[in-house]
Amino acid sequence: MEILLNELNEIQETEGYISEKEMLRVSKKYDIPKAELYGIITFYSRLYTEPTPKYIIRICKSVSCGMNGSKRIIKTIEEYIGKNKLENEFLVEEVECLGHCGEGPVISINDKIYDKMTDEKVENILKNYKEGELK
Amino acid sequence: MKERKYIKELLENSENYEYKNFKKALSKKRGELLEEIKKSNLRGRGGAGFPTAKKWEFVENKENVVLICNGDEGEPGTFKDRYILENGISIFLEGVLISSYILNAKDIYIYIRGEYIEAIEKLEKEIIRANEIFKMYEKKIEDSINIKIVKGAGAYVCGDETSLINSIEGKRPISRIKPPYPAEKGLNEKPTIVNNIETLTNIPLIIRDGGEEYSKIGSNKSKGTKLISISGKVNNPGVYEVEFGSGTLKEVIFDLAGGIRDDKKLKFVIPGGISTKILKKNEIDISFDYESLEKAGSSIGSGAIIVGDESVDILGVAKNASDFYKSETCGTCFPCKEGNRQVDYLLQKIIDGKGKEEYLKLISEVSKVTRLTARCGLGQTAGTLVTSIIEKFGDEVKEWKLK
Repeated sequence: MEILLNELNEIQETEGYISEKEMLRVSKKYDIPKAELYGIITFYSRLYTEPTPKYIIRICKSVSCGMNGSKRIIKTIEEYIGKNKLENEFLVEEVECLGHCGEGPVISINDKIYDKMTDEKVENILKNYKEGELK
Repeated sequence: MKERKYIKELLENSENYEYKNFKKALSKKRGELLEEIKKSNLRGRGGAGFPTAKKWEFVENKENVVLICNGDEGEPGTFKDRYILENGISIFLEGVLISSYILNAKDIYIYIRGEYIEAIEKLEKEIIRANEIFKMYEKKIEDSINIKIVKGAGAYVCGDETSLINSIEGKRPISRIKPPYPAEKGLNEKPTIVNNIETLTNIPLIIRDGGEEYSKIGSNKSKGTKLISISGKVNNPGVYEVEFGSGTLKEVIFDLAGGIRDDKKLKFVIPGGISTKILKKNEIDISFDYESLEKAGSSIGSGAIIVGDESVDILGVAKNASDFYKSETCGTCFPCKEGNRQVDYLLQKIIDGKGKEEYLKLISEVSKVTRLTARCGLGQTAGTLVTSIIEKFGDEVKEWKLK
């Protein structure tokens, strides 16, 4: 049995999003109506139907990270992105638990985990991405 | 109290692992092995605590059984499955193989949340490394084994076994109405067993030591050890292994996790993830096992112990949970979709200073209806934390300035 979800994940990873063209192809391949496929794709938070920027920053907002200050980190990140006009390069999302609750607040950038975030640390990391030192 | 490294010891010594326990299992009959699992009294480690052997007996002697390993760890505060996958993947895989042999399941699906990149990579490599083991297995059963990794894509509800099955089938991952239970009609209508990663990782130990020996570890009714994930305001958060009944919840927090950070005072403990009832600081001097936690009105849950100190605003914790369930409900059954939205809406009103006394009753009522009528575990447990906060933190509720 071929796994639809694995194929969708692969398209997401290589293309950055699942285009209408890809949706049509997949819907034929798996014999699923396009509308149903759209319903499946949009259910998952890691799948996108519009092109995404180069970097996706996910900030955990669940309870443990929340207690350790994730709200402040969200604010710091948004301010940094705004101040440096990086909206086209970074997509910032508040997400639920990333599974690193012991090391909160936690963020991920293109799925690479950065833990125990402080304002200073997170600004440094963003700066390194901006200047191409981190990819 | 000390950590009991029973599973951890095996995980820590699993480099170039040779699957000894699996080889041992293959030399025995399925019925004999199931008997060992039964004797061990192992209960599912995902959250519900259902006896593993009892679940497996539902598919005994059935054809075309499917085994699904649930690694969609998403309950806030839980990171013990990731610990297993990153630190001892071969022990987990051995558990999968032994279980599939006992269950006569030739179709195996390992579902891991997409965020766990390292775990997925390690599993892919280990399956290749264990090629000889698979060949030996196939020769023994004179049939082929089909093992597939499925990567999650960000949906908490997939931790529910019926949603997980829909997800693997390529459907929208909404929950299914039970019955029929997966053991009767699961993946592609085949009899299906869904087990948590930690549960399966216990299997090699039961085979190695025998069910009877295994059942000597733990308390009267809770056998073995539990991997717990401690997070929040403690000095040493992390994954610890606790023998059931070997100490109190308080000792787990103070002896293992080093107590509360920054010389602050403990305020509350959420003992098993945000689907379990909160315990106040004077309620945690209880033995850490299924029966004692249940007696205290809460649950071991997934083993996610979330600790809050005096600085944590309890209303914020309630709102965090309601927000979580509002966004993670699959939206299919009305009580869960609408109930969670209403609870979140009412809490927001309270936070905005527009709360009314009657809201508290309303939240409890809505949560009760959702608990009784939602079709899967997500909805059934969604209101647990919020209502227990309202019940137990009456003093602070007064400060919410309700009209």
